[in-house]
Amino acid sequence: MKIDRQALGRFAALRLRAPGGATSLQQGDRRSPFRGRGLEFADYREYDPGDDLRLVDWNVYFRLGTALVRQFNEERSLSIRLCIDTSASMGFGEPRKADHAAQLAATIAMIALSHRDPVVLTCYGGDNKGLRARAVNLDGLPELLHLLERVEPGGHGDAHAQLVAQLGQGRSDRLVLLSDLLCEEAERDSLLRLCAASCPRPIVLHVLGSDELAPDLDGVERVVDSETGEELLVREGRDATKAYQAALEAWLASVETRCRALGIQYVRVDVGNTVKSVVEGALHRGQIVEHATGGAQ
Amino acid sequence: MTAAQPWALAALALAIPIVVAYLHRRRRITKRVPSVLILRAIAGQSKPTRRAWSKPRHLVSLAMVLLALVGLSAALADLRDEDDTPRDFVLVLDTSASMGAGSPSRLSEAVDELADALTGLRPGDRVALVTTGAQTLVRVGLTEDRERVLALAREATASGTGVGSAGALRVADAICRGANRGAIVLFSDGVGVDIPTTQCPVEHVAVGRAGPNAGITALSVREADALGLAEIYTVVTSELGRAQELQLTLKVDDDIVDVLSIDVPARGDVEKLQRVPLPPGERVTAQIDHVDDDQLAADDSATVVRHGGARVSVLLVAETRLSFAAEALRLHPRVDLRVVGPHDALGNDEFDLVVLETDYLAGPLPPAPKLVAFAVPPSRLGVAARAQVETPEVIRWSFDHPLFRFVDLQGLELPRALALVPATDQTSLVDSDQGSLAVTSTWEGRELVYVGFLPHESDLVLRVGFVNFVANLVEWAAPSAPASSAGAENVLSKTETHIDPPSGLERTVKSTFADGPLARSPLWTLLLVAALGALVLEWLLPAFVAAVVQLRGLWARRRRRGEPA
Repeated sequence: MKIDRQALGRFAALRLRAPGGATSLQQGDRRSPFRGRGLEFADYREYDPGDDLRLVDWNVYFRLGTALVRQFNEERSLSIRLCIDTSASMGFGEPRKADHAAQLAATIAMIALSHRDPVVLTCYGGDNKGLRARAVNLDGLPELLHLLERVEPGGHGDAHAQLVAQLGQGRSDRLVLLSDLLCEEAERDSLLRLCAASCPRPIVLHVLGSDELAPDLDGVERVVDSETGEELLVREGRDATKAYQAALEAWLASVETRCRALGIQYVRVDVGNTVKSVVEGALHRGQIVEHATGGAQ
Repeated sequence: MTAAQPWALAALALAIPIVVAYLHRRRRITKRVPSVLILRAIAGQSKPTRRAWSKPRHLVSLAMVLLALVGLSAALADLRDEDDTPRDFVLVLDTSASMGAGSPSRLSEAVDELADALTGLRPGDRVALVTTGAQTLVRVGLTEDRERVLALAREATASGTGVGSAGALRVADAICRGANRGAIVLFSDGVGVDIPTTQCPVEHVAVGRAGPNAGITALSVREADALGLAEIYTVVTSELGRAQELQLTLKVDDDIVDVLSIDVPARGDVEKLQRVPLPPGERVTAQIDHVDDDQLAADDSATVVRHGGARVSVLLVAETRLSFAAEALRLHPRVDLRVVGPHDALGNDEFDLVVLETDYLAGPLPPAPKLVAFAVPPSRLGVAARAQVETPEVIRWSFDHPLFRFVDLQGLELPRALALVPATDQTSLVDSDQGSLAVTSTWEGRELVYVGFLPHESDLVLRVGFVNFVANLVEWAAPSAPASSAGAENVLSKTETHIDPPSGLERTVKSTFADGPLARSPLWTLLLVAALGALVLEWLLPAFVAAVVQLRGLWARRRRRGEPA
C-alpha cells in the first residue's frame, strides 16, 4: 500500500480524544481511572501494612492519631489499536481503498505517537496472516509505516478468526477498524460484535469507493466477485441503476444502524475525499481527534 | 460520373471506425468488481424483447450514418453526371467609389468573395471579368486562367460612379450570349447601379453594409470679377445619422485659402456659396474634416479645374498709349499687354487677343485667335458697312453674350458710328435704330468682334460697363484649359455618397456562383443534414442523458457526505 509520508507532518497539532480515560500500562499525560503515584492529589485511605511510609500524611496522624495514606491520580497513555482490512476488495477504487485506509491509519498513528500514545497496527482479511506492529512513541512510527507499505491487498481470509487472534493479545482504549465491510451479513455482524467487545469505544471507518457508490456498469453483462469468485449476471439501464442505488442506500443504512446498536462510532469515508479533509472534517466532527491546544481547527 | 475533388472520396474511409465503434459499443463485457454483495439487487438479464428491438434499432442507425457519410463524401467530391457540361460566368466587378467604403473596403470584400467562388468552380468552367467604375473595361475575356482573373480583380481600385454599370452589364450580356450556359455575376454593393434588361440572368453577390457617411457632392468655381474674386459653390451631403459640425477647407493647388465651419444635418444636403479672393492657380480643392465614423474617404475631397485663370497676352493697336482701352487692359491682373502704334513693327510674337483701335498699317496682323476691332475700315476685316450715322440710339444688345455680361448699353451716348450690315454668317451683337453697331464674325480663321464706334468717342468709357466689357474680352480670349487638366476634376455624385446598399436589385437573382459546389447540390445538403441529425440522435443524446445521470449521482454523493457521521 502507498503512504505519503510528507503529508503526515501537517497533523502534528492534533491529538486523539480520550473520553473514557487512558488505561494503558504505559505512563503518560492522560488522566486514568487508576489511583497511585502521580502529581494530582485524589484522596486519602487508611494505612495498610506494606504501604509505602512516604505516602503517610504525618500531619493528619499527629492531629487525629490515625495513619492515612495519600492517593494520587495516575496519568497513563491512550492505547490505540488500528485494524486494516487487506482483503482483495480493498484493492479497488481510485485511489485504492487500501491506500486511502493505509494513509488514514498512518495519520492516526502519527497523531497518537506524537503524544506518546502506544499504537498497535494489525492487518487482517487478506492472504497474509499475523501482520502486526507496535510502537510506543515516534521512534516506532517507521516500523508501522514499513508494515503498511509492505502489505498489498489481496485474497480473502477469515477476518473474524484473524482479528480474534490479534485482539486476544491485549486490551486497548480505542480500536479503529478501517474496512469496506464488503462481506456477508453474518460475517460482518460477528466482526462488528468482536470490535464492540474488544474495546469500550471502538470506531469503524467505512471506506468506500466509486465501485460501490456509482459503479460504471455500461455494457457490463456479467460481474465477478474479486474475493469469492462468484459470478453474477446483471441488468443495465435506468431501472437497474435506480435499483442499485436503492440497495446501496439500504446496505449503508443497515451497517450504520448495526454499528450504533453495538456502541460503535461509525464514520463513512469516500476515497474521493482527501485524507486531510477526512481528518479535519468527519474525524474532528465525530470528536475522534481534537486540537492539541484546545483551539478551533 | 465525374468528381471535381476526388481526394474527398477518401472520407469514405471513416466508415471503418464508425462500424467498429458500433459493433464495439454493443458487445457486453464481464467485469471484476470488489464484491457482488450489493449488485445482487440488479441480478438478472435484460428483457429479451428490449434486446431484440435494440439490435435492429442500432443497425438502422448505423445504416443512416453510413448513408450520410456517403452523401457527405459525394458532396465534398462534387460528384455529378458526365453530361453536366462546364459553364461560363461573366463576372462584373463594381469598382465605383462607393466600393471603397468600409474597412476593409467593399471592393476587398468583393474580391475575396470572387476568389472563394473561383476556387469552387469545376474543371472546364470559364470566367470573364468586366470592371465598371470610372471606366467600363473588359479586363479579360472568357478564360480558364482563374489566377489571371483574380490578379486583375485585385488590381482594381474604387473610383468613379456606378452609372456605367448598365453599360458594363450590356457588355457582359453580349459576352454571355455566346457562352455555354452562361450567367452574369455582379459583385457590387448596389449603390447607383442600374440593371438593364439582359438575356443572360444576372446573379448579384451583395457586399457591404450600411454605414454613416458625409461627402462633397458638388463643387464649382466661377470668377466673380476680373480682379480675382471668385464664387465657390459647394454642396455637402450628409448620411451621418446625427447632426455634426464639419470643417470645410478650400485650397488653390496646395495653398489653403479659406476654412469654413458648416453644420450638417443627420441626413440631407448643405449648400454653401462663398465669395473669396483666389490667388492664381489651376485647381480648386474642397475638403471636409472632423467627420466621425465616415465610411467613405473618396468623397471627403473634391477638385475642379479653375477655368479662365490663365494669363492672356493682348496686343492693342492705338494712336496713343493713353487710351481708355489701354488703361483698362493694363489694370487687368491677368493681361500681358503690349500697345503699339499703327506703324510700329512687330516681331514674330503671337497673342491671344488683338484689339484694333486703329488700323495696323505696318504689315499683316500678328497671329491671334481672337480679334476685336473698333471702327477700323470694315472692308479690310470682311465686314460690310452701310454708312456712318449720327447719334444712333441703341435699341438692343445681346446681353446674354459672354462679351456683354454686366454691360449695360441702355442710353448710350454715341455721337457717330458705322451702321453695319451683317452678312449671313455674321451675327449682330448691338442694334441701333439706324443699323447694327457690332457684329461677330470670323476672319482669316480668327474670331472677330467688330464694333462700329470708338469707345472713347462715347460715354461708354465713363460707365462701369466698359471695365466689364474689357474684362469680358479678356475672359473670351483666355486660352482654354489644357486637356491634361480634364482628368483632374474629381467630384463624386450624390448617388455614390449614399453608400447604404439597397435591399435588393431588380432584375437580379440571388447568386449561387459564390456559394461553391456544395451549395449548388441540394441533395448533398440534405444528406449532410441527415448525417448531423443521425449523429445527434444516436450519439450525443445518450451521452447527454448519461452526463445528467452522472451529475445526479455526484450530487447525491455530495449530499451524503454533507451529513454528520
